[in-house]
Amino acid sequence: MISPPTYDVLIVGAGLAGMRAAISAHQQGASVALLTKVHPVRSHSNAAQGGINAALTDRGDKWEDHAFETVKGSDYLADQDAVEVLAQDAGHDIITLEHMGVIFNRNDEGQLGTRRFGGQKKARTFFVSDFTGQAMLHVLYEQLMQAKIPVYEEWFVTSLVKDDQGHCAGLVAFEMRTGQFALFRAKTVIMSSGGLGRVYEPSTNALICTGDGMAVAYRAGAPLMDMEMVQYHPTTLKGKGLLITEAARGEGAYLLNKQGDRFMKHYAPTMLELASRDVVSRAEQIEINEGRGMNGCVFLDCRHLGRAFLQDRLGQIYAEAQTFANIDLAEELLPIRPGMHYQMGGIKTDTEGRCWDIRGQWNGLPGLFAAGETACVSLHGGNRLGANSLLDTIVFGRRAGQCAANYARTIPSPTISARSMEADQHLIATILARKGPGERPAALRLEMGTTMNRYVSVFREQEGLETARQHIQALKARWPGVTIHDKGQVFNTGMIAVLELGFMLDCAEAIIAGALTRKESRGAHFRTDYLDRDDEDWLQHILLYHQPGSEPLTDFLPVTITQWQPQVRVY
Amino acid sequence: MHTTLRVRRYNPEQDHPSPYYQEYDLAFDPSDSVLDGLIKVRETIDDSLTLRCSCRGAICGSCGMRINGHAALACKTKIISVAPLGETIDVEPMNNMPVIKDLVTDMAPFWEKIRQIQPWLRPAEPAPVAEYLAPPESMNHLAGVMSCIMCGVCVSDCTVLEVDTNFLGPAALAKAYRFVADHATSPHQTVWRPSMNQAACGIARAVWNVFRSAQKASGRWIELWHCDQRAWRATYHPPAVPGMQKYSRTSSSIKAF
Repeated sequence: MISPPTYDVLIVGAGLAGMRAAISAHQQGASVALLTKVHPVRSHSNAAQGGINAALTDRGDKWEDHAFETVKGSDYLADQDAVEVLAQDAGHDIITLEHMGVIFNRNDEGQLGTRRFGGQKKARTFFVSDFTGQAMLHVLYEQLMQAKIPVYEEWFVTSLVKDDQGHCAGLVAFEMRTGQFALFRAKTVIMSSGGLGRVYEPSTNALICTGDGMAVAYRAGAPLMDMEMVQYHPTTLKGKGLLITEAARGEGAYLLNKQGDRFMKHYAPTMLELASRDVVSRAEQIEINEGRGMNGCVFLDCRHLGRAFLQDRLGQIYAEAQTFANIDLAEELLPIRPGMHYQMGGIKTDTEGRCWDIRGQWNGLPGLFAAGETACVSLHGGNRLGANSLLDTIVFGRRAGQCAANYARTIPSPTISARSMEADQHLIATILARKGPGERPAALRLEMGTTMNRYVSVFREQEGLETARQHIQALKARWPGVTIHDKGQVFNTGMIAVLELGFMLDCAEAIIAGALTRKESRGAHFRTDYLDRDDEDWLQHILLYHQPGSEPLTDFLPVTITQWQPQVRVY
Repeated sequence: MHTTLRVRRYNPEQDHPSPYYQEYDLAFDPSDSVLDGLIKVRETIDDSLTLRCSCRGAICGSCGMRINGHAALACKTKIISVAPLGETIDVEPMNNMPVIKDLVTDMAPFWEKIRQIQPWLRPAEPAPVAEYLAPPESMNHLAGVMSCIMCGVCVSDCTVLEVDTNFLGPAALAKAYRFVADHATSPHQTVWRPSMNQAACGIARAVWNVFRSAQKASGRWIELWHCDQRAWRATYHPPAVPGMQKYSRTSSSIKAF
């Protein structure tokens, strides 16, 4: 039996947020380990293409402008204290990354170069060609190797464990290579396990993005916030939904309908293609719904940018269009459409990554922290600006790591019994013992994904959401009958699929519950039966608490406003 | 359209584990990759078929495997490109690393070699307050090196590793090159001293062969060769193997790069 040492800070997920948290907790002198279901450099942070935002004062930019545009982008649902922290810390954190070895593109003076991104009037997006996330991820992994921080690679978390006082005291996980369970004792746990894109089909997200961290924390008592805020990215490929970076439009690409009309001028006369993502995705969907698309798509036009420029600054999507759509971007129009991309909501945290609320109390699960897409600080509110997600991981990963390390110093070592593993071990044994034929997990996942993409997407209304809720409830009732034929312990990916499906169904239920609760249109949540934003009733966050066997319990939190009163949002 | 995937299977939990081949008949679309085909098998025919995969877009580096004998990313290999007439496609785990189960290999030795070259930036002097100033071209050059996704495909096809497992291999050397080139061209003035002399080893021609196959997988690595052939000037003595071509040694230390 494996019995790992007790850690001050145990981090679930080794993408950008997790690794950044690990490095900062390590620098504070804490004993740290990461636990991840894939090798760190396989994490989905890889997929972030376009860049990372920061307002650098020595470029004549102001953090207040970045903060305001983030708040406006969020449709005023972001907590402004958190946005101020993000915008003020951004410059320092990006320079730190550069000093660690991230090879950012330079301008002619040899300084860090910038490009334009959506929802922002100034070019403040720093980038490494169009693989910024990958470049950052590999450099943080270098730092992790240098610091010799232990990584439990290909371990799968099944639940969080609380001590008798209800304090988060560790977690239960099994090693995928052997199927062996272990109880990890830790003074603090940081959830940085990424998003839940696979709840939808299609999605730009990698197959590993199954909302594990959100579901595990939710089941353990941590509230999820603003789960209805699901971002559809304006430029994804038809079919499997692969992402085409917003940097394409940032660098000057157009959106055209089938008549060749740059339709964004009708929806966002000033910012055009670079309006915020919710606005562009809605515009595209309207064009498609009203018959001005082609085969369910509109077009991205990069032809005027020229082949050399495309290869240099947008090399990855240039190759991607070739490989996955058989399109030459320098010569042809690329059919694209809105596709599920990002979850703005997540585990509610404060600006130090703690899962507590603005009333200053641990909010359901003391000792738990979260950072990155798993978390909801809330920075992104109703709609995230492009290139703010990488910044989120770096700033709030660092802060969560620091705070967790400092907090761990003040509390005794956890006392939990190895019996905490029994329920999860029993569940695995039960799944393995099921005799066929039974239903395959993939069949249920596809039903869930298409349901969500049909009823809980760019446009939503009461009846559709009720239908989705019933479908998801029915799928949850079928989940205990799901059967796999691989009965082995070694690298049983069928078993992983069953467990992930269970997590995703909880996430789907939370998304729908939030969407049914919020009776207004704000950011990515557009209700055709409540067309307007309603600041009087709905300038507040929706918190959801897990209730085993029934609908989630709903609570509300006011939005923190510091200096930007809600205004009409025009781009 | 139809094809047959002939997959090398291995399950250590069987009573008498030994690799065997299993064939799966499969309907496919022209847009389907080999990965799509394998996922279809896993989800609808045989959930015990085991592989790693994640991004589906040739970024994460999870799905390296041998397809008709050559290592490649399964997500990036179109079925129609390897079986235009519906021929049988051989799918096997990557070479030069132990197999855990089916197409899942143990990458630990791969990462151990990456660690051996101590791949992190160690500037000689304290960092400036702001960013390092650097010419755009030198950064573009290094970014090309950094675009390696560490999928292991080049290591799988490395003929030198087949005869000498101590060879660092192309992925680790490419990673090393990022710091070597940094020293030469960037303002970091990195102090980069690998602890092992062995890190000096590189077989120019073998590396070139491997990079050609890696280029097929990633479409990027070939730039390394074009950009700076100096990096690969150092050569290496493989152990004497009958029939193995001898390469001349010009350097015994990475510092000579």
